[in-house]
Amino acid sequence: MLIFDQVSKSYKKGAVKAVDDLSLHVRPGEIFGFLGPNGAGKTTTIKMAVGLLRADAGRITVSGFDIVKEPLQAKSAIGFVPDNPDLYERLTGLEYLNFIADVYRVPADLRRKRMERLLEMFELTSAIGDLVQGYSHGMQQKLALTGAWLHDPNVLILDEPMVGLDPRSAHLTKDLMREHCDRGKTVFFSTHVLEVAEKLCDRIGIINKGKLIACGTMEELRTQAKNQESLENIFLELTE
Amino acid sequence: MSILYKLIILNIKNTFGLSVLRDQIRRREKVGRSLLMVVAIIISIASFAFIFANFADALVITGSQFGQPEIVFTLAITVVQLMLLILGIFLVISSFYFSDDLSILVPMPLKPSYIFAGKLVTVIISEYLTAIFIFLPAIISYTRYVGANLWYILTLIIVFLTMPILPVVISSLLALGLMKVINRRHRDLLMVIGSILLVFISLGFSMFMQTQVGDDPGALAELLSRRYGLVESIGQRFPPSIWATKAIARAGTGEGWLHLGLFLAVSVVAVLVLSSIAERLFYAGLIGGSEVIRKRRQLSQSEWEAKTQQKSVFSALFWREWRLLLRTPVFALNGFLGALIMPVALVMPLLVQGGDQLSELLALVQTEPGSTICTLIVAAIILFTSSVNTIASTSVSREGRLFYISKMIPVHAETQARAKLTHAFVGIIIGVIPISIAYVWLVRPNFLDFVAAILIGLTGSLLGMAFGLYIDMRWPRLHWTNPQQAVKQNFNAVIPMLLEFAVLLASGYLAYRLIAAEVPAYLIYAAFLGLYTIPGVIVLQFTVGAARRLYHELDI
Repeated sequence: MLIFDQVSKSYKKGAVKAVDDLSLHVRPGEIFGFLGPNGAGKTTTIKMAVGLLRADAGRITVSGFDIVKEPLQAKSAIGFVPDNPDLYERLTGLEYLNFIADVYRVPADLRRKRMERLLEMFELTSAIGDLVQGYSHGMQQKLALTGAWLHDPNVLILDEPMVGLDPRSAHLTKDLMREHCDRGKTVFFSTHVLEVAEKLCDRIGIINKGKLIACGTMEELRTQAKNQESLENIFLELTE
Repeated sequence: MSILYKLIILNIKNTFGLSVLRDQIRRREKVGRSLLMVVAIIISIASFAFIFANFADALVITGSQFGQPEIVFTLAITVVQLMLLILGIFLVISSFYFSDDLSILVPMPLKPSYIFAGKLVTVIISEYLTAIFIFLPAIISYTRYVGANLWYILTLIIVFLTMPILPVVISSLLALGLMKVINRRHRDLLMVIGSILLVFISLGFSMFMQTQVGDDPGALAELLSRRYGLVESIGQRFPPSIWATKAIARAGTGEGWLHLGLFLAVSVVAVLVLSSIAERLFYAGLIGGSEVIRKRRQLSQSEWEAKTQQKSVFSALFWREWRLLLRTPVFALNGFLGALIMPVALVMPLLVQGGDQLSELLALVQTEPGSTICTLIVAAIILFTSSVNTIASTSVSREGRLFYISKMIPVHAETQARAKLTHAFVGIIIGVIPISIAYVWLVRPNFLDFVAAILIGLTGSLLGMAFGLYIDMRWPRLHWTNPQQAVKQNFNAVIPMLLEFAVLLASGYLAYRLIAAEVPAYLIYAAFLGLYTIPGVIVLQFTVGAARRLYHELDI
């Protein structure tokens, strides 16, 4: 569903390797947690996957489409929430969602159905006619999540999706992610909240200094990290 | 004092992207591009300086005949200060009230007047670029005829550096007053209306400043014969321009020092007054200004269904552009400023001068080549109005950090470019409407002339618009902290404007030659349509190429 094949990206004319020969296959029906210390290359990887950055080497395919050679088909299959939910502040919430639904070509009846459900779930219904400018950080994050789910993408790519969410909304988001994958779709997300990753993810990848240093289920990671019990200990040991 | 100094340096670095630039140079990234930009800007300034220099030369020569070559400075300083006063209001409001860094600075233990001063300095620096266009030719012409010495050069530098202070202080006082009284509920709308009102007030003020020498031959002779007679006549309602002129003309003498002292003292007093008013009024207009009152109203079923209809991708992009432009005061004002001022500037002098001149003009444009000239002048006005319209040339830059949305959506680069061009073209049409009304009302042209004027004006505008969008797609300015940086302090907006001015000048020369050669009107019109359309189509092709690169290849 989401494949990274020997992907590399460097900055400052090759002086800094942000992502180094990353190969990863995120399968259908899988929630994949992408972990790593600050500056490890998580956001760079995510930006390459959604077409905001171009890889120096390697290939990324989303739902079978090459993000560089077939960008429109690949992007149609992605729902994306960036690490900072910057949205059009001078649009109302509804105008933003309609814009997203229009550009992803979601028919009117389907968008209404999905919007009603997600807005109700995130308690945004009464605020949807207001300008995004007046939304709190958490409300903007919930609006960004609603927008990402609106076209029911094959692959959801979420950069720190829980940041700014209240516990109830964070819980709902985790339920939505699970439900999405239960329908055979994929969620790829980065997080610093190791508890969430441990409980929610089918598989976890740990990136450090641009290299994927560990990848697998919790059991497999425990084996890799000399039988450390918690993900926190595994993470600390591997990224030391 | 050191905090104030640090704040000023921080603001300068932030506003002009100096740290980014230094980093790029250090990493040797985009150096070629930056150099190319600098060369383009120098060429543009030089070509304009050349045009103004001809005018300045004529002024110096004429002035010299009456022993008053320094009149060129009085005129240049007066024009610069009035221009900065009128155009500075938007820059002042957006820098003081819409900068992103204010949310970081306000909670810090800093005096309001310090934060204000930091912003004020960046506004003044920005205005030097506008001032140099007019002041440099005056310096060159005067120095060539009169010569230079050390004191003259020193005085020139001091006057140039001080020149924008007074108009910026007046604009700031107006802005402080406006933002203090504006109602929170409709703040954006009131800000737009208030700013436009302030511009018209400034326009009225500038008309008041333009003194009439009068028709009395005796008074005119007296002005010409008296030392500084012309200078004092032009600057009589704005004495600082007289002081600055005398400071330059008599540099190094007691009289020169006295007038330089006066000019500096007035500027210093103005800054002190502003600083004390800002200490009391700045936060009153600023704090809570970005808060939005939520309606929290549930939509009715019919509203919900009406507002969730599916639209085409093109339509979604077009309306996004439109809403964001209109709802962001700084963008809306910059986008439509020319369209608002031009018709007023066109009609007002004719109305003020009264019926006799109007009927003379009408009689003139009913005959050949008067009607052809008039048609081409109207086309030139449309072209000029669209050249100061920055909707296309800042189209991508305005998206700023939100550009990631345009890049992540599955939409063809061509469709995105088409939506931006259509949006900018509608903006130009809106500017053309009042001009067309004024044209029909004042001149009553025949159908062919009317259509020709509009078509030539629009095809020329389309060429400029496509070029503007091309520039902005090639080198978008996406990292800004204040919306003004995306529109007014953005070279992408200046370069197409200068190109269009150059096209206008070349067109004027061509029109003069064609009319002098008695070429039939319809052939002249066809020639201009062809001359604008062919390069327009070529530039459009380049723009589509730039769009593909922008949406599919550019790293953000």
